Amino acid sequence: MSRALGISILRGCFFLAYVAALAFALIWARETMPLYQTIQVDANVLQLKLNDLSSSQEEIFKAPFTVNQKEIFPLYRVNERPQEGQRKHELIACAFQVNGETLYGPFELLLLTDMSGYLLHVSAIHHSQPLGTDQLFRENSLIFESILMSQDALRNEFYPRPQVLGAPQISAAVAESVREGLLFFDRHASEIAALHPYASELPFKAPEPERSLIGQIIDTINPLDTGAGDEPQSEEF
Amino acid sequence: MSLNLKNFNRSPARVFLAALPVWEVLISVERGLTHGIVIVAGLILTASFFTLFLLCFPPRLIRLSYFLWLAVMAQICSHLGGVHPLWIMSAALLMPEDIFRKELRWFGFKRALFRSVFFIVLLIYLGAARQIFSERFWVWSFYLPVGSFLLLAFASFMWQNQPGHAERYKEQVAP
Repeated sequence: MSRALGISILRGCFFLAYVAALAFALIWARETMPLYQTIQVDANVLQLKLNDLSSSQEEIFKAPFTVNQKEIFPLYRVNERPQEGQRKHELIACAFQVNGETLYGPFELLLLTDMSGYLLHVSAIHHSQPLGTDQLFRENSLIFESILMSQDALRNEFYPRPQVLGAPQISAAVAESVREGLLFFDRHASEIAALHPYASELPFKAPEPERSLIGQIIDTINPLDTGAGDEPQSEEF
Repeated sequence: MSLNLKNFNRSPARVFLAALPVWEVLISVERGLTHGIVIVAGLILTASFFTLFLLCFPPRLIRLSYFLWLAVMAQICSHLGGVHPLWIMSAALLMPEDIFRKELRWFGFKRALFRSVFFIVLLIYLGAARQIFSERFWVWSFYLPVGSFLLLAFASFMWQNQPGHAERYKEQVAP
């Protein structure tokens, strides 16, 4: 009887020690670790994304300029041998960031539009969403694809929101921020076209071809209808 | 079709059931591998702890101890490993009931090891299927968790309708 009692007491002590160890581990975990696992993206991810978007060597992003307190990254097509009337740096598109917030945390998107306002690319730069909803912010996700397809409707006041299974609040927040970005571009398109770094660059004009030395001699000996030889002689001569 | 619910705890279908809590986040091979490693590590740690120290606990408080253990493990490992907090549901569903019986606990420990191998392979396959079909072939169903369900339904349909399946398994089907 006493042996059984002793075993029971030992077992009870073991249980108490076990509970204390668990409580200690729980407190340590709550103090040292954040409540939610958030995905932190590198700071240079924007530059990497811009490099990806400018796929060919002729298309490059230049340093950003500011329009209405928003940084615009201009995308130029560089013509090394421009034709008549063509600029060397031709502005074809521009990228800019928009911010938004869902129930779970903030996010930053990168929009790329051509100069007519057509949305070419949407992707997330930073987001702080819990695991499980973060996959809605990856490249070519269902939200971004549906936004690219319904961008004309997004500009309207009563636009149909893209419906994504399982996360209506996230898709609505993303669509709202993209809509703000598109409206910003529509309002400031003329400013962007006037203020970008190569706006003052003149279109290429081909120089007049110079005559060769033999041609000049022939012209002086046997003047054609240009009237070069018909000039009156100077008095000194 | 009949389902023998009596022995469901010992059925290999338990592995598929255990994949359900983290089914939504398995979008790539890497994520499948991460979740598989964390869940299996948690399972083996839990199984070995309760196999070794089962006799030290008061018999009436074993279930409570197990519940507290799961709660604390869920808190710690979801932060450390960067996995979905519901991973502990998977570990709990993979845990054999035999662990908590004195005579059968080593048998249960072997079963847990056996299940963990199948489970980690299953998670990698599920992640790979979703990654390949969504990113490579652009099948929109695979952007959602339903794509893997479709694939498993197709696989089970093919398994059930293979030639000679009914004759082979006739004796095992309950009347």
